[in-house]
Amino acid sequence: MHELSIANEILKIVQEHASAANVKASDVTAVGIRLGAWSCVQEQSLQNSFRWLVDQTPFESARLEIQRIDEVQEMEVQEMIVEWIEIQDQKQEN
Amino acid sequence: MEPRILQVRTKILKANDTLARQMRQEFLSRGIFVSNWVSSPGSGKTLWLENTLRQLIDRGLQVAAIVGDLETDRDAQRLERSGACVRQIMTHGLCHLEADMIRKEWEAWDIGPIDYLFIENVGNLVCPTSWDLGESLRVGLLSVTEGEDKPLKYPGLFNTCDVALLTKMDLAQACEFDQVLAIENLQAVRPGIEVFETSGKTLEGMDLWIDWLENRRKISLLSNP
Ligand SMILES: Nc1nc2c(ncn2[C@@H]2O[C@H](COP(=O)(O)OP(=O)(O)O)[C@@H](O)[C@H]2O)c(=O)[nH]1
Ligand SMILES: [Mg+2]
Repeated sequence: MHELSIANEILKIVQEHASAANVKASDVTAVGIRLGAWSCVQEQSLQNSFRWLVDQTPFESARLEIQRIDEVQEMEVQEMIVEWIEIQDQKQEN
Repeated sequence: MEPRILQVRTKILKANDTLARQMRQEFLSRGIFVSNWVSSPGSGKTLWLENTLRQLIDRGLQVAAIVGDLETDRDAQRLERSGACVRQIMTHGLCHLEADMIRKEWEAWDIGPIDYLFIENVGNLVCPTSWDLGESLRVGLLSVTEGEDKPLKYPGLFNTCDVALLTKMDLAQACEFDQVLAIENLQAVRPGIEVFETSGKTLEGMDLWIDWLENRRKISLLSNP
């Protein structure tokens, strides 16, 4: 259930970074997330929460790509990171 | 046109972490030692905390507590019996407390100088894991009736704890509780964790616990003058 709070924080970070880079919300097509092995996040619940938040907003074409990292060396077990945002720039209309 | 990638590399709970860090600094600079108590519902947080508050008050210390529950202020009423100042946060369905909820409660609280602030989190072995509340100590409770394997089943939460309390030890025999195994399992997910065997009914383990807590408070305050 805390996945909704996490999805909300992800969306805030995406908004912040998209706006700083002058990216239109509707051009964001994916958001890459990395989760540590023990980050206590149920992936489907996070997907559902994120979908529910972005539906019928300018970010609705953004999908969440979740990568879970089991290697402790690579990432802290508790860590949760927004890694990247994928942007599909729209063709300029003449 | 090919899609492009914007690198972000930002911690998802960055906002909470930043606020919690500031709060921890502020609490310590005011000489307040904050602990965050996590466990499943019913493992004995409120009873052990009520007893802890009493013991600290008897030693002349100023103590306060914030308790989070989905509904009701029953735990706040129980904790108040100790004589401590207590605030209840009702989360109305939210399964954990967040730093900003503690900040709001704290800022609205007209309370004199205190030595300890205890936070009893919402009973849950999953959701509270990732939210730093500005505490200097995270206390995880595991009651003998839950079984020795819970640290292995909920490694995330127990991994974040600084100390573990095995509670309801008065019932250990009836539950055929194997404390050696429970401690092994705690050590497996949180190597080096300190473990206390306690009972809120007989007060087994109370003196050792209070001495240890006082020691931790002093170390924390000395290392953050
Ligand atoms: N026998 C026994 N019962 C306990 C002990 N600690 C708590 N309880 C009982 O367990 C139930 C849940 O305790 P409570 O403090 O409300 O747990 P919380 O939900 O974690 O806050 C209550 O009925 C307590 O009286 C203990 O050490 N021994
Ligand atoms: Mg309680």
